[in-house]
Amino acid sequence: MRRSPAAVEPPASYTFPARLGLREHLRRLAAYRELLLIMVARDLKARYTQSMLGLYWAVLNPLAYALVLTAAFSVVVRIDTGDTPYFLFVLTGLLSWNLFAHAAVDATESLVVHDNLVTKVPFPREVIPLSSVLARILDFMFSLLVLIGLMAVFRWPLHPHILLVLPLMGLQVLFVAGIGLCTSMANLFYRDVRQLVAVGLPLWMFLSPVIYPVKLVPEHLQGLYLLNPMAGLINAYRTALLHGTAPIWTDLIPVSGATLVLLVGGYLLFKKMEPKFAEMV
Amino acid sequence: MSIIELEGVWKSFHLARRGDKGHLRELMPVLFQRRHAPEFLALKDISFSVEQGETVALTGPNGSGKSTILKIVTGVVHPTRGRVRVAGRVCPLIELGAGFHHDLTGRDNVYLSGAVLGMSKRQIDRAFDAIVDFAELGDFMGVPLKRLSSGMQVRLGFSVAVHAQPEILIVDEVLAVGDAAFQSKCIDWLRQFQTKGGTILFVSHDPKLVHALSDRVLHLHGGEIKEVPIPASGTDSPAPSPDPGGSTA
Repeated sequence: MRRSPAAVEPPASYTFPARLGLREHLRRLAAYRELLLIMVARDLKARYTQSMLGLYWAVLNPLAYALVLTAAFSVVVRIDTGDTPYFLFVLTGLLSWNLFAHAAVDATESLVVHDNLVTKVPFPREVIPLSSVLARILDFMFSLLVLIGLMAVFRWPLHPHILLVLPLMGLQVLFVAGIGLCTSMANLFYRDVRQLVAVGLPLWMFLSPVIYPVKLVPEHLQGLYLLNPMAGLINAYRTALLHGTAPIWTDLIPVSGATLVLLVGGYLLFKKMEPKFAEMV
Repeated sequence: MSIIELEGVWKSFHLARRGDKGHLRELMPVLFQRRHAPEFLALKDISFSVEQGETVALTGPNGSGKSTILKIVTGVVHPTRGRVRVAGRVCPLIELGAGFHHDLTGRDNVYLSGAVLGMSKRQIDRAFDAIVDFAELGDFMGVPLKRLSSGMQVRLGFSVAVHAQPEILIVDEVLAVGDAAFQSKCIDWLRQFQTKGGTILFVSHDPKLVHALSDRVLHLHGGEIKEVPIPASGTDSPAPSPDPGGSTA
């Protein structure tokens, strides 16, 4: 009945009580990395099979928003975005915001949606919210390509700084993963969390520089304003994509700090509460 | 050394905190009443051990704690008190087709369910043909799962699970599904698993099945083991009484 040896594989024994440290949790998560990838693939396939436009929905949504917002804020009410066409300005904001918002919503609901797994099969539960977050990267990448195409249409110069989008995306994925670990867990205990996230995200968007630039925020409030982790992040995306300069690194301190706290603290709390999940679904 | 060991295991569930207290406005009473919230003692001081190669049946009426024991051995539920030691790779046949997604093809679902049960992609690659053969679904692997009958889905789920190379099988009533031919195939497979030294812990309300498969029976009642394990495979030992509740899960 012995299995063939492999580098890292799921633990072949289980004891209770057991005190496992962060290292051991991470080792076990690593043993389930293939499950993580297969679940990401499953989410994507399930989302886009049987839908005629498939992945194009990931682009149509921000495009539709960008068009309407452009009509509203560069024709009806004028928001000054300098030399940048408002359409490109708002599209870069939406690109980053949608990755954040969609991943946060999916992750929040993930544990409840997968209740049959949570109550029946043993594997590290963090795989579930993490796969929901990772599954949104493809949407982002596809939207990014379309955005770059549209920049060409607008004859907007492409700079090598565009490559900075990738590490920024990495940071953002970690940030939303930290949030997702906390909200998915909280949503098991109180289903209000899902509502809270659904109500909170649009409000949060208006407090972030998605549809208007930071420089329109009164100067004495800008320090406070930039404490919003998404503010610095969206700014950095925009600088890299549209202005061809390096982001203002200090803008990224709030998001980096929040990521560190949410990811490490959230993960430890998640692992501490994990044994109760099956009873809470 | 035993492969499964439970020592003084207690499990209580907060009844009020399940489901009906899912909203924030109920948070306040929960905070205040937690100590008085009704609790349900699902298991009371359960101790038993299972040796490698043994097959142990859990019987008893609904709500007597059988499934809770299976979940504790599987590791998805932790005991309130007590010690648990499981020294082998557990495969739960509790949820057949764990992680199945109805919009995906049979093939995708084999990979998904295999990974959920802890198989690597390479292991699934190698076992794939055997899984499909065992489920007898060779022509259906490219079809979305929802187009298969529920019996076919169960067959596929069972087939993935038994190819996950378990050392300990945890079986909860799942043998009641599938047609007669597939059922007997599953039982043959379980017998083979036994002769290869596999350990089985299973719940059944079917006295014939309990009699046919198990070396020992643990009868549960109200969260306690009521009888000293009796040999079920002996020549003239009586078969354990059927479930008074008379229901199948």
